[in-house]
Amino acid sequence: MLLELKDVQKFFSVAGGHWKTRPSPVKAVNGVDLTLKAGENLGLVGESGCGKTTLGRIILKLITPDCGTIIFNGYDITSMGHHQFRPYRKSMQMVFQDPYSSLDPRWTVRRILEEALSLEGARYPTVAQRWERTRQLLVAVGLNESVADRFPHEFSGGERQRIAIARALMLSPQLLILDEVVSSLDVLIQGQILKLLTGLQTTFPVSYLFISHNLRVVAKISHRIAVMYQGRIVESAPTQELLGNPLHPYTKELLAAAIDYRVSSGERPITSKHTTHLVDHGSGHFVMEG
Amino acid sequence: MKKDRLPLSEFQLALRRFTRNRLAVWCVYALLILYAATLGAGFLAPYSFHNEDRNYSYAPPTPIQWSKNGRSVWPQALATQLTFNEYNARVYTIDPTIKYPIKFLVKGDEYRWLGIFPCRYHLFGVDYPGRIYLLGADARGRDLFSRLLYGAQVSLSIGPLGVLISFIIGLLVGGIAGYYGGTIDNVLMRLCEMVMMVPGFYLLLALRAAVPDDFNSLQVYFAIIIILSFIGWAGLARIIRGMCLSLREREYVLAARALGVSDIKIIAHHVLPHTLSYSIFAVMLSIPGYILGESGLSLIGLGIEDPYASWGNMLSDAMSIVRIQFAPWILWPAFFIFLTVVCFNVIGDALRDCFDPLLKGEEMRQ
Ligand SMILES: Nc1ncnc2c1ncn2[C@@H]1O[C@H](COP(=O)(O)OP(=O)(O)OP(=O)(O)O)[C@@H](O)[C@H]1O
Ligand SMILES: [Mg+2]
Repeated sequence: MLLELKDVQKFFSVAGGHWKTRPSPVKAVNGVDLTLKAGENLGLVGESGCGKTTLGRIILKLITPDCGTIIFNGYDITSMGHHQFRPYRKSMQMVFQDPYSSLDPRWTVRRILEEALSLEGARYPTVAQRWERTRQLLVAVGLNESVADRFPHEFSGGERQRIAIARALMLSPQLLILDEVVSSLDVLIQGQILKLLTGLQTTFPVSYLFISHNLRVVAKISHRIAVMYQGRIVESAPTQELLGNPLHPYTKELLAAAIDYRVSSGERPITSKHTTHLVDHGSGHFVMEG
Repeated sequence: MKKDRLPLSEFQLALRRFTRNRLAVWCVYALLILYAATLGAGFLAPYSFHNEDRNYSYAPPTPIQWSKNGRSVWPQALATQLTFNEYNARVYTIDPTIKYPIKFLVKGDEYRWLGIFPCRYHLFGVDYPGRIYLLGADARGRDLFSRLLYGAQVSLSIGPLGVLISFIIGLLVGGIAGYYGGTIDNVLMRLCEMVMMVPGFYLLLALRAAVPDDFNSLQVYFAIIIILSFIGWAGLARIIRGMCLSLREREYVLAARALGVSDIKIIAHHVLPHTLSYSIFAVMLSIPGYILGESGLSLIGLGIEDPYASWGNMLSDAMSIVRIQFAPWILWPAFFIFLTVVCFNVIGDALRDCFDPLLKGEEMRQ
């Protein structure tokens, strides 16, 4: 198992009011269990604000969870110190949601990409070696090597995402978290990026955790899909199974919105109480029961 | 686009953009000349700042003869004669019969070059009893040109030194407040607001009043710098704090953290450079405030005191309109203050425009 999350939880306290009238915290991630096998792409789908980004950042330890365990490659990384975590860090990377803020605007593409290599000084000691690796990645994500000396603001959103993907792949991670990589792009470019991502997996042995609010997009790239609702995973199943046989009402609603699937009347109301838990429906299909 | 493999550094690119702004480049030259002049003030000035001759009170610029009968000759300073008219006002008349040839590398008043090496040689001068006033004389018959040079040493150094101190304080306070947030941020920002709440000049006066009377001129000089930077740091701290607060949430900072780049490197490479591009012009634009602050203090007699020269205290001579009418050259310090302030402002603006592909990028997003 490449990645395993157990009951991960993160609440954000909200500013405003004093200690008595302070509003209750935002339950961004509210007890998430998730597994990801090596070589498998997992899609994480849910509406805006359901905690997808927060979950992605928790996995990378950019945010400390309130409780829960994160197991990466069999090692519990939750309580690891900064130093201990170092070797694992480069095995997981993230492509961030906003292509306009994820690249330092005052750095050239070349410097952005080579920042990662500076952490691997032993493997890439010379300028030539670093440039070789940079060039290789630029070509891999479908950019011309001549873009290396340009600044991020000279690129379109799609090109920026390619650069961000290249940066994330610089150190050959095993897990790549793609946070809404195509959400800000038009449909045509979305298709190109998705194709690129699938293609990259032939050269780079990397698993994707593909985060999106768009079920249709997630379905194109994922072997398995987990549906997130209000900080919880409400259903997870292999892609075909989930699309063909959605069990949780929220999934059905998502599906209806995405591919015009008709919701039959008389369904259960959508629930997300913490007392509920995932129930196995066979063949890897888990659903949250009320 | 250069085909060359080695990319232009960010600094080179910024420099290239900067040099496209002709006005700013001229301002840089002007400031360079002014600062170079302060370094060689003792040598460039024909007299020391306290060399006075009451017979030449408010003497006009010395006329210099360049040619005779259509032929150019070695420049000669013509003597001026002081008489009084029927209203007992001074009248200077040129006496063309007495001439003093201008000499170069003459021995004159002793000065210390860079404050260390004693030296008596001056770039130019005339023999005793002649006097040369390139820009005229002040009330006590001291050479305005010489005093402008000595005054520049004070007036031009106070700005950068003051800014340096407030910049260090501002960077520290702003960085700590912005990085840690919470209570520390609250306390530090309230402190800033307390400093900023009091109108600058009153604070200046109050602080000046707290400085002991028996300070010598050098101590007063440093006291003024410290007072000015005490007033100046709060604004910078607030700017930097605000920037750090938003910068640490940027996704490229997160990306660097995800790569495992150390905090120190992230701050040095991804956070501070961004505050620097903003604060470098904030600094440039705030230097005039220090220069004007010193001038203001000196003008009302609370800054650098006679006989020492600063542009501000030289201007205190020009507080009466009658004197300005009679000897308009005593306004030269005002001209130089104006020139310096404008130069710093233009350069500050140009830096803002050029140091930032960031600004362009952000404008495009909106
Ligand atoms: N640093 C934070 N402080 C306070 N609240 C936060 C913070 N980060 C996220 N939240 C809140 O947590 C919730 C989940 O946010 P998150 O960004 O994870 O959602 P998301 O699923 O990624 O949404 P989107 O699809 O819009 O990106 C939101 O309600 C958000 O307001
Ligand atoms: Mg998000």
